[in-house]
Amino acid sequence: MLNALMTQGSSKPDVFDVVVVGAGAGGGTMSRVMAGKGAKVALLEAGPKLVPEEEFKEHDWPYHYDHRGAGPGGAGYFGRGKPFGFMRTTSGGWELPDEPYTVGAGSEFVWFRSRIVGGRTNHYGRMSFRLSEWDLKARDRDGVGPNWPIGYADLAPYYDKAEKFIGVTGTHEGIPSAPDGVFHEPPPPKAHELLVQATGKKLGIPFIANRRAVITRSINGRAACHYCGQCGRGCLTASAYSASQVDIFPALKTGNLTLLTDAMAREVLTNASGKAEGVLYIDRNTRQVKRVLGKAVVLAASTCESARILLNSKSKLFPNGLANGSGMVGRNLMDTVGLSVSGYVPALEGMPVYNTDGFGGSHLYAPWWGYNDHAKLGFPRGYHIEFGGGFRMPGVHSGHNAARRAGYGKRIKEWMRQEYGARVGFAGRGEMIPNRFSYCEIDPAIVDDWGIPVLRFHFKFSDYEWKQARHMEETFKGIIESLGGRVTGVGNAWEKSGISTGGSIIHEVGTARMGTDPRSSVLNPYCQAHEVKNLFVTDGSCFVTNPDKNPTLTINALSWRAADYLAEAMRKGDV
Amino acid sequence: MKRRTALKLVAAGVAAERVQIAGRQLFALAQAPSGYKLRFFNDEQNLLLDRLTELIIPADDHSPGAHAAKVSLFIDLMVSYSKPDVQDQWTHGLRALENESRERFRKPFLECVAAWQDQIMQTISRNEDHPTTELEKFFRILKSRTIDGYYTSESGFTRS
Ligand SMILES: Cc1cc2nc3c(=O)[nH]c(=O)nc-3n(C[C@H](O)[C@H](O)[C@H](O)COP(=O)(O)OP(=O)(O)OC[C@H]3O[C@@H](n4cnc5c(N)ncnc54)[C@H](O)[C@@H]3O)c2cc1C
Repeated sequence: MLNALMTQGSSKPDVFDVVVVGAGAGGGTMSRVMAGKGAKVALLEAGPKLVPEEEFKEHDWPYHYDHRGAGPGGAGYFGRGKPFGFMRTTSGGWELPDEPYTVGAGSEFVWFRSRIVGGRTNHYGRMSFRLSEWDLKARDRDGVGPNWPIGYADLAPYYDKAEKFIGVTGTHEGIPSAPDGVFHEPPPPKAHELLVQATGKKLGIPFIANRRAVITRSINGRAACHYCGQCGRGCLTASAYSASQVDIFPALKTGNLTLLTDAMAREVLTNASGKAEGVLYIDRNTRQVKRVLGKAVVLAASTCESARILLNSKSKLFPNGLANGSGMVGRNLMDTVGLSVSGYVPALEGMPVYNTDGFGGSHLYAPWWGYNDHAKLGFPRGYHIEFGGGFRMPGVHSGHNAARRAGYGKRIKEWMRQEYGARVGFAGRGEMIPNRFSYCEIDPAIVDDWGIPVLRFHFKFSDYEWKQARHMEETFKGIIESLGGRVTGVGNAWEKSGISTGGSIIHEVGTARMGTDPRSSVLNPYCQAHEVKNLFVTDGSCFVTNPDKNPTLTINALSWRAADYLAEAMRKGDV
Repeated sequence: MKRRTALKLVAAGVAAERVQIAGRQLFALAQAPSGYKLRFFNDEQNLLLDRLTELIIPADDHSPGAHAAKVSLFIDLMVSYSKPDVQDQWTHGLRALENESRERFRKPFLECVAAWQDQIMQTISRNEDHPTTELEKFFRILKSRTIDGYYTSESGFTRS
């Protein structure tokens, strides 16, 4: 057993087998897998502990609160509330007061960070899509951007493992750009979704069961989803995956995992021979600088943040930052391309209000359907469609549009009844090609409240993305028209220019990409640093491209794969 | 939570401790906020506000209205959190409405017969999309908060 080679005895050794930074999707997976193999793991998390029973509000109604969900102090009215509203579990947001970042002149970029055990997985959308061979080797087809050094055959076994463990809904469709997986049964489509599906058929757009990390049969002591439909608020029954409840809490029970919260990693420590020997961090409660030592170090502090730690880990041996001989740390920053169009569909007016059983978010989505048409489309890569509608949870602000122009009196009530459920919205989520204008670097002038130099972002979409966004716009308008509806808005608050602001889709990846050539990549295909054998990066930083598939399932799979590789290397004495 | 949802939760085989949590939340429902004390408006203003919200969302065969849902108290709370200029808009708005009533009908608004109150409501709601006068602007903010308060109340939620 691995155990024999690893630290024996006390559960808190002086030198851990593995020090992991960041308790999100990547770090949670890594910690659980390694602890499960008997390794002694220290997991550093910048945020506090998570107590789901106190934090999660998925079964609350607005009228449980005097402020009706506007938040204490009416924060929701004044732009001061939590992102996505009071009921959401976030523990972070677009701005962290003690951890600023800067944006270079001429760029726009926003960076959503969570600081809590579980990271952003406590409330993420849980859309879980596999990359395909078509995605991984896209350059072979169109000559644009880089290929991944791994193919679908390398990833598939780990997608299988991750899906079996996490639980993902879906159906077998045989669509080449959207490989099938190991699925839980999805909830049935809602009424408006069936309407959209039928219209999609006419237009040649396939709407299929959504693939979300929610279980619909009980596994590993987690209850099947009880269909309260509020996944974004956190899930008390852990039926919706979160790294905190599904990876980290169970891993703590092995006795092999030591969780250090409020521990803000600053840099990776290296010894004279250039190996990583631990992590220097700041205890946020005491402001003390501390170190934790390990035989291997895994960064999973989220894309950009892991790049920041590497760039801040400067030494004589690594003057440009750790593992940065290629100069690629921070480069190739990508987000997803987003554009949304909303509409009003008279055919849905006055539907009897029913209890829309199911999980949060849509029960259907459309995987990219135009994969054979790129030559005539004029942009190289695809997008998928997410959409919303139906009887949504009302909150403050949600009735204004419906009641506008209805004056006052009984008419308002009649009109609200009439139009509840008649609004739909379509959002495209498309692939961005990495470009040299999009990257992050250390801002030479600014440090955060913990004295750590902060990131400065540069970001630009190219023609590829702009053309894709226009295609989204036309497509969604077409769908709404085909539904017999009228378009009520193009672009949300982040999309005023006609394309999403960089970072606003919260799918940032690429800042320490993998590859076989150490001159053009930071990591090898197992997320191991080319230059530092006992250093791994297992969040979205390792991505080579950013296909239209939301990144988290791939982070889970790659992190699991890296953990197996690391354990084997440790067993052989290679790291 | 609706009883149906709660029962489903139990039926879905939710682990015992989870049911306890769900139970606590059911209990919270029974204890929805009450005993609220006015924070910004005085009693007189609150009575006027209460009537105005009920005119915007009246009780009907279908469901109770804004009065039963205590929407004026929600508005009081939100106004109490607002910046002074917004607070002024509310106090000035209420006063202007009172003046309008006295000028036109020589009575305080609350003493006007329903038809008169309705005439005033018609006047102030005329330009909902592009309000220009102080009273038209007041109507817009009044209506927005009334809708927020009503459609997040228990009756607004479950019976409207
Ligand atoms: C509202 C929302 C919806 C989303 N929807 C989807 C979706 O549907 N599908 C999808 O695939 N993705 C979605 N995402 C993105 C998804 O959340 C991320 O891809 C995923 O969480 C990334 O995992 P990670 O482990 O890299 O980072 P995170 O989950 O962000 O975790 C990183 C952790 O590291 C900690 N950390 C950071 N810096 C330090 C430091 N210096 N020292 C110590 N600890 C540190 C953080 O506190 C955090 O806990 C969504 C995100 C949001 C916010």
